[in-house]
Amino acid sequence: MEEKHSNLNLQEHGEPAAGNSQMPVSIMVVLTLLGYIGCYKVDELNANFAANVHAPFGSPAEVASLAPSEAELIFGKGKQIYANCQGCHQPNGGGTPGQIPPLVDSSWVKGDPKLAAAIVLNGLQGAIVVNGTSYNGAMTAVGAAWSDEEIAAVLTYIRQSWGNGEELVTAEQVTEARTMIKDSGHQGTWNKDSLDAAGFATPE
Amino acid sequence: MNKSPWIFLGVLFALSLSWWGMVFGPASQANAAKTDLGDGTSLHPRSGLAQQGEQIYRENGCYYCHTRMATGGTFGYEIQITQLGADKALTREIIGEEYAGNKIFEKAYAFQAVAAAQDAATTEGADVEATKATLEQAKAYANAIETEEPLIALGISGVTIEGDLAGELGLPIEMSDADKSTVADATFAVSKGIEQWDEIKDRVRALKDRAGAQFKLLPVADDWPDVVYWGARRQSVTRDFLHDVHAMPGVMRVGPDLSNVGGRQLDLNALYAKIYNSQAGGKSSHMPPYKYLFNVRSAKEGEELPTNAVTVSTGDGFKHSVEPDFVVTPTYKARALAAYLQSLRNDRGLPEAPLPAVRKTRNPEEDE
Amino acid sequence: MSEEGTHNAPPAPEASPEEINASCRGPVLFLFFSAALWAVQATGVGLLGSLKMHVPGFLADFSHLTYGRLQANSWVAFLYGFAGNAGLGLTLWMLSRLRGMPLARPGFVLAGAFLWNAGATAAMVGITMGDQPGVAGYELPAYASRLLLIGQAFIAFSAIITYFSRRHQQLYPSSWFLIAGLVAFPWIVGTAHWLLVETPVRGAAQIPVAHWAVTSLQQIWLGCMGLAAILYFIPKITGRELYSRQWAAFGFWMLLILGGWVNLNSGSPLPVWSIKLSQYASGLFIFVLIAIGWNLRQTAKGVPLLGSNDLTLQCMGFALGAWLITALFIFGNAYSDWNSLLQFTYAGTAVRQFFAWGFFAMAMFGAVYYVAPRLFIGEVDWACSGTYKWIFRLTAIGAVVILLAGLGLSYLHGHALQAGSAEVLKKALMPMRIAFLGEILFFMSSLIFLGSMACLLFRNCCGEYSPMALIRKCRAAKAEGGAE
Repeated sequence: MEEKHSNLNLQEHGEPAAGNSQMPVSIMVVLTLLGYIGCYKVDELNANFAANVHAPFGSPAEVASLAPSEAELIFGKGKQIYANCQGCHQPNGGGTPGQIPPLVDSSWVKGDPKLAAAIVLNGLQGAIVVNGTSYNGAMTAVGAAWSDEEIAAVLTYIRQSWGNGEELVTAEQVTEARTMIKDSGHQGTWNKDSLDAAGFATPE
Repeated sequence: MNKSPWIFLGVLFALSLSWWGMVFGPASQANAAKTDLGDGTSLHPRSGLAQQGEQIYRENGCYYCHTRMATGGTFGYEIQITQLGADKALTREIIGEEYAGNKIFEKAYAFQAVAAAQDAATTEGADVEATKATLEQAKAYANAIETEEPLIALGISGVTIEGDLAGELGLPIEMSDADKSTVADATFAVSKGIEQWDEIKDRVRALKDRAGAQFKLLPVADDWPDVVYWGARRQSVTRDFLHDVHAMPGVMRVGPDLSNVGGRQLDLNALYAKIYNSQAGGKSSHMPPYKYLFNVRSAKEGEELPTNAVTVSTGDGFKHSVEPDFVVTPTYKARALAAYLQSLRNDRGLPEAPLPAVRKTRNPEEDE
Repeated sequence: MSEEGTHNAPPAPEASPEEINASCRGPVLFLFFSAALWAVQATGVGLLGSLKMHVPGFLADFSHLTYGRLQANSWVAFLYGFAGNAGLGLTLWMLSRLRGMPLARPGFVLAGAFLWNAGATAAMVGITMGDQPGVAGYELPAYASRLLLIGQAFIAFSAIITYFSRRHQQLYPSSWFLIAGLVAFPWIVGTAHWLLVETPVRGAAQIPVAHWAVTSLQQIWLGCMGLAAILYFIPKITGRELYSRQWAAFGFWMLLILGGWVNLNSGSPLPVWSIKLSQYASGLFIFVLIAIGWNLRQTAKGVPLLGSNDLTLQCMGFALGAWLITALFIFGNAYSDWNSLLQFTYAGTAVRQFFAWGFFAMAMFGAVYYVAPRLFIGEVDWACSGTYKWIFRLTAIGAVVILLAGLGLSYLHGHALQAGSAEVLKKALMPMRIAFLGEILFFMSSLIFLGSMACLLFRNCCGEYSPMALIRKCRAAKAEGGAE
């Protein structure tokens, strides 16, 4: 080949080949050991591959302890749903004097939650007495389309707010209330008598 | 043996390992992430304007100099008891003398016993003997402590002691509203707030499972720079990016972290002034001005600035245009970008990332 | 060659080196020349962007020239413009040589190369217009990645036909790396295109996908092509046998398995497990480092690579060193204190630049220096081979400056971030301002590279009618006239 202008050496060696030297066993052992230690570390720190564990927290149990409790969640959910009720019952649960009965310290709210559940499900009209005051209004069946969980949440919120200190309401209790309504054959809005007839003891 | 095709298969297999681990695994977890926070609220997508702002942020490559991810740091746990377990001796054993020796511990039990006594006394057809026992218990607890001040118990609020019972127990008859809210908000810490999870996990489990107490765990930030110094309220987590069209966590912090820029009460005009010319008003900054996001026209003689004009205050109490002798108003793009920035906030706790308390704010200068 | 190595010796090629060179001439030179153009583009645009670190108001009134867009453009021009063109060109030449067969279907390569460059151009235009998908390190708009994928498929088709055109038992390790590079590219870009741009997954899921794509493009795609060149040229020029096939295989498979996992920052908003797993992979990267480093050290034992007379060997030596340092940095990322100190500083970008220029571009410069002149018949020469040395020198100094600025000064920035210092901005800018010097050197070396490629083409492609030949003729005529 002509190379008179070239300062490159165009003579080249053949294509390279690879030798047969083996990896020393000692190195393989060390590397395997390192890999194993790493595996062990990952096993210890992987937080069970949970999607909700982020640094600086380290384990699902820790994150579960940090999260609000079931009761707090139900209460919070109820607070959201109560937005549907506060137009009449007011954000402080006080009702409107002479028109809408209060929820604070109300004997209709305290006690067996199935009564309140039945009212939320079907509504209520006619004369009632709450805490010694007579009311004669009408409440629509606001909760007709709500799930048992939602009704339980909003009742829990009402029963635990504004100084009411009742137990929380479970979805099962609402289901029971539904069954009782179904068994009684009652349809449409309640009044005090039909509630009593269906087995929901109303306070005097 | 001809190995040629095996190289292809081997390469595909080797590549697929990291693909499963870094693409498929995390992506399917993130896909399964819920928007629902469990308490009836949920994480909402951005408003339309803010979503268009995300596009402006992306187009201009803001993510090259700003991150929007706050990281974790070191912290300790404060265990805040909101309701003590029924068994006083057991609870005392679990939380240890250090905390059970606290006066509030006794008060809490006394109040709890009073509440139980009241329930027992007002329940129709209650077992007389049992009611009596409860009353005695309440009396014993109450006598063990001073009763002049209202009892501040934890998690039990608004219990009114009926006249006779209260007289018999020697307790205040009514709680004022202030006392009631003190009671409702009162917490009873049974750790110093420096303990690590490993130190407290057994206590936490015992409190929950054995004593039946209710409590909150509050992380208290210690050496957690993003929370202590840089304006974030907590670390960023996967769910913060749930509704991003393009997730832009960023790479470098040439500029400040923006994970909570919307939560820092930045007023809109200040944000515009910052984007228009971050050095305006003599501020130390190295951010390029983004004047092309604004309409700029020269001001007429003696003209009052329109309400939407971008202004800076220079210390004499007056607002001046960010560009002297000109009227600067944001374009649609600037408004969208500002809306996006204001939507960036992490000042709301998530179940997996509650807001930590900050032990003390340190002055960065002192660390120098 | 050692005696026991004889059965590893490649079988006699069916085509002579000259034949193979001739078959590669058009397509490979086209790719190399495009690479040179893109290198200038990448460094030039990068410089413009970096100038804003000194003068924030510079070009601030042009919405198409924001820092973010210029940085994105610079990286795209480097990755798909320079690295893609040079890497694919070298892949074709090396595969043909290692197979001892002429390049099959060069027409496909030319078509693919046009599409590829169209794709890279589309990406630049798209980013300027604001179409980047918001991932630093993967900035391809949908239309650009489609063009790139189709272009790469054409080129890979030719490469694979060449690869399968002849069968023999032992494959030289470089060909594994080259094949892996060819397979990895569509896999990585396809995934990113599909999951980030075409039908973006939920925001939260984009973060790990983007990280995987960005890391894989660098560690696997660039890594495979660059290491293939190093593994080929060091034994070839020294005339030795590669020390161990087994070590090479170990390094190869570990690189492919780990390359996409590594380097996830400990502060990423991802579940703990993915960060821990990534740290584990970063730790295991020491395996790749040992395998590649030991193998080549044993191969080149006693040969001063950097002090060699052969420019290609010098380049490969530096590239190998740069790769090893990058691998060491990855290994360091396994230690989360170290990582959380540096994660938001310039260090990551500095190491990326060091990898891109110190390792990959350096390997390509060395390879092109060797390959390009051989593609011509007859009068083969770098027109100004003395200047080519400056490509090596400037790139090497630039890479070292960036690495030192990135690691040394970013350490201060990291500390300022952790201590909440008021001086954080000053400390953030310092390493970037110093790295600017390195970028100027890269720009200069890219210019020289382009100039050298242009000279080479001018001298050789038009035979005796080439401008250089004409100039030489004139000079010779003058000299003759003067002598008389």
